[in-house]
Amino acid sequence: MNLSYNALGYLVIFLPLTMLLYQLVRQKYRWIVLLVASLVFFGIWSTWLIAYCLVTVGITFFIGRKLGSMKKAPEGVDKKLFKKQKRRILTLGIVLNLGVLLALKYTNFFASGLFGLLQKSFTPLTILVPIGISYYTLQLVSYLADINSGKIEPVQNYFHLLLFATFFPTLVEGPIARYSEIGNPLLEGNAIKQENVIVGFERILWGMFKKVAIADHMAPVVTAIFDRYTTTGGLVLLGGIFCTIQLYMDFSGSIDIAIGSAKVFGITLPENFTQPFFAKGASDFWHRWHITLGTFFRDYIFYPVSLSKPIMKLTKWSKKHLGKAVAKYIGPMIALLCVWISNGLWHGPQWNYILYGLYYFVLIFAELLLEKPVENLCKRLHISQEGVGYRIFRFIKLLIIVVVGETVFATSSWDQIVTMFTSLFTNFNWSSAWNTIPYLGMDAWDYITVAIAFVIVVIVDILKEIRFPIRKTFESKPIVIRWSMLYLVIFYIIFFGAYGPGYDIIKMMYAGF
Amino acid sequence: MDELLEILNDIKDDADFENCTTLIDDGVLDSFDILSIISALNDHYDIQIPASDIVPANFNSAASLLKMVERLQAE
Repeated sequence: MNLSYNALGYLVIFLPLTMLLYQLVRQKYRWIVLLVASLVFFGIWSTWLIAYCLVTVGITFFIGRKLGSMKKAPEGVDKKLFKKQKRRILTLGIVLNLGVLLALKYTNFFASGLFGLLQKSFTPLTILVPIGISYYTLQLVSYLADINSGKIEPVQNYFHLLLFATFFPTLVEGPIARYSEIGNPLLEGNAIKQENVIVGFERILWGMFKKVAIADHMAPVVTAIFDRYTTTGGLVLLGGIFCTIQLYMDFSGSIDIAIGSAKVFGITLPENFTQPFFAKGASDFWHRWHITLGTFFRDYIFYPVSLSKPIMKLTKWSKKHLGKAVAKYIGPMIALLCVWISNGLWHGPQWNYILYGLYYFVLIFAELLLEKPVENLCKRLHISQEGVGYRIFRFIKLLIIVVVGETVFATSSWDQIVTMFTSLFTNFNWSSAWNTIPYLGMDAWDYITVAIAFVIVVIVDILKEIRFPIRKTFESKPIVIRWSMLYLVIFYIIFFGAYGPGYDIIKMMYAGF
Repeated sequence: MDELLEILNDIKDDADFENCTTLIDDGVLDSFDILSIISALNDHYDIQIPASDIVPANFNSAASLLKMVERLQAE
């Protein structure tokens, strides 16, 4: 059975069946239904590879309990020594968690690099990776770090932690939730409420609309351009724009389905997108795009690295020798570099992802350095940064930044990156591109229906950005209008979505990470 | 408190540190501002603010920052 969130097997069988069983059993056993459903879900995706997850959760459970028992140094024990011991245990937990992830996902990448350096040939190993490993590993790392800092208490039941790590709506693509956010709600077993079902299924429907009516239609065009038309600049530009739209609609749509699925059980997952294309720049974009990954890196890499002893020492040294103005950027720069290399590597063992990470490191660090000078320049030239002209300029600048980034992200080799970006300047050839468009996998009718759906999503994003109360307004309408609107979305998905005969279920783009 | 406000205003002069109680919740301070504040407070009060203390409850207002500084000084 295909259990992609947009597959009928998930929406028509798995989710309703889980809801039914959840509601039928007594409140104190409901978390067990969620756990069993999550394990079945995991098993269908990854069969025996679930064993990796069971072991990792086991290790995390015991280390978490050990950390939880070390709140204060016992009398007579040196506080510094005690802190050091605690840090060692935390480090062990993190290393073991990340060790499994690195061994499974990155062995071939690092081994091929090493063999390359030694100028020896390397045959990649076949290593099977369980679904969602990059997501649940980060959740487990945050669990340990939060126990260490006293933000949460360790769980006393292994299966409670297992549910937190494998909860089926978050397993495939996140959002990367913290234990403090969903730990207790997962175990409460509150009865399914009508209002949660309505909100949940509306969110699922909205996610389906984005994924099936937009992203999945664009997938063949993006694949065709990135596979076959990398030397025609006009098509490369189209491919870059299309892959950006596809990625946003696919990923945010799948997250909508995940959030809606959890909401049905009364569990509120953290948001992962807040209108990213209204961002003021690259840094703000990452506050609005894949938010839970960004906040993970901020809390568990950026701050700890910035405030670590070696960095603090380096900052002090820089203050003395290079001056205050330079020194204040040293710590953030190193921490930011760590964050963006981690971000690139997290997406997968490929150089294009590392380049993608470094690209945003340079942009965000440049933004940090230029923030004040740009502000002063605008003042001197009497340009209002809140004026319409400046906002349009900012929007276009952001679009270019994001499209270039996503194009790098979607490539599969260094040669491809060079070919595609070179073609933009050496062989734009718009007429050849225009003539090829009808043969890329979407017909005129597809373009029209995708364009309509896209405009609807843009309008909703604008309304959200200006904080228009969409839900309140929707709920205030007569029931006939509300249902008519819902039916319209359902019909749109059924009739105009990339669904049914002639279409394969298109995999969720972030499921492989 | 005046001393603290002076330090904070030196770092970010366009924020209302005196009255605002949602510096983090409303996105007035970003992660770079937070690091600048920590660095300045560490130097001025001779404390070490750990990463685990970077939570909204400690950084949402000047009053909560002062409370954190006093706690770390007492430790």
